[in-house]
Amino acid sequence: MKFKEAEMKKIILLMSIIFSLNIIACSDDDGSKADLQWNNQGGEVAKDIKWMSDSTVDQRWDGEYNNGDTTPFKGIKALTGQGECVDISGDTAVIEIDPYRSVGIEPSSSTSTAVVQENAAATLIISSIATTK
Amino acid sequence: MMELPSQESHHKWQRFSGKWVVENSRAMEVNGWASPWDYYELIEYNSIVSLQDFKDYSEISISANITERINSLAELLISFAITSESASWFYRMYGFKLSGGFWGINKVSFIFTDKNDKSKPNATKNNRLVQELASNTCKVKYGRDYNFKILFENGNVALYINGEKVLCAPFTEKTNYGRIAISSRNAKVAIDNVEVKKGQDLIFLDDFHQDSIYVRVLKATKEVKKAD
Repeated sequence: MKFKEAEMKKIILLMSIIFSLNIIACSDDDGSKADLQWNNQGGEVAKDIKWMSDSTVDQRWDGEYNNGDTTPFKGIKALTGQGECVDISGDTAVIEIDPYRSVGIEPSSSTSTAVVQENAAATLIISSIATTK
Repeated sequence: MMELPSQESHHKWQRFSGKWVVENSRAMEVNGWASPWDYYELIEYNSIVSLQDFKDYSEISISANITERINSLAELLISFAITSESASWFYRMYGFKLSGGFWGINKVSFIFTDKNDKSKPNATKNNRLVQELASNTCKVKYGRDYNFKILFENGNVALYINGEKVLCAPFTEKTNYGRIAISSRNAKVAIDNVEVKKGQDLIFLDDFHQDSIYVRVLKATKEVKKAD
């Protein structure tokens, strides 16, 4: 009987260790400070969207996003940045945030540089695409 | 519908990548690092591309200063005969590429790029070929102004740096029709006095006394909810 109790304790201890290790392994603490996704309502295709900070491409959503499509949420490390993409014409374009129409954007944002709130799950809507050249 | 910044009459270039600012009568690329898109060669660099096409010109002249090397290879690319099969998918072009490392620019090459598999759509990643048609050694220091002149002469195209011919190669195309572009990668550059001449006639000049670079912009608004 004592032998069985000791065995059971060992098994419970082992299971606890495995459970703890599993929690550590599944943690999604990848250093991101907010989650960001893009919703294309611009009427044209947007491709390969990038979230750029001063010195690097912080996050990218490769692929083609038709009008109405939404990218998956991805973690961003740089809260301050700017979006860029390629449009259907092969032009690259800066995605400009309109701070006056935006909700939850930090007051320090400008049209050229957006500051996403920390810990936010932010959706940036591409609302119209310049067609004038 | 939001009002969008659009191309205006004083615009002579379109920014394709990088952060270009016009100050003190110079166009400067201030990022240095370039973020690849994996489509056509021009957008693998920080590039400005002329808004107009040129035809039967004999000379392109540019003053340029590679102000700072960010990484190796540091590159400056002067491209011409840039054409596309569709819209702005500028796969096809020729160019003189200057490249170097820590000590300065030490190589010049004449390159040709185009779509590799023409049956594939334009928006196909990594579908470009880049051919080096000729190359030579050269010496260009960082932080100094140089004049780069491309001359079309007797079926050849030659690059002169401060008046010295550094590379000459056959140019076998029937025409040099197309746009011109200035690009950099892994280096910050400052550009001034871009001229295109047809014989003695000056057909294009940009001394960057005003901001002549058009930046294509998409507008985005924002919806935010706090994460759980």
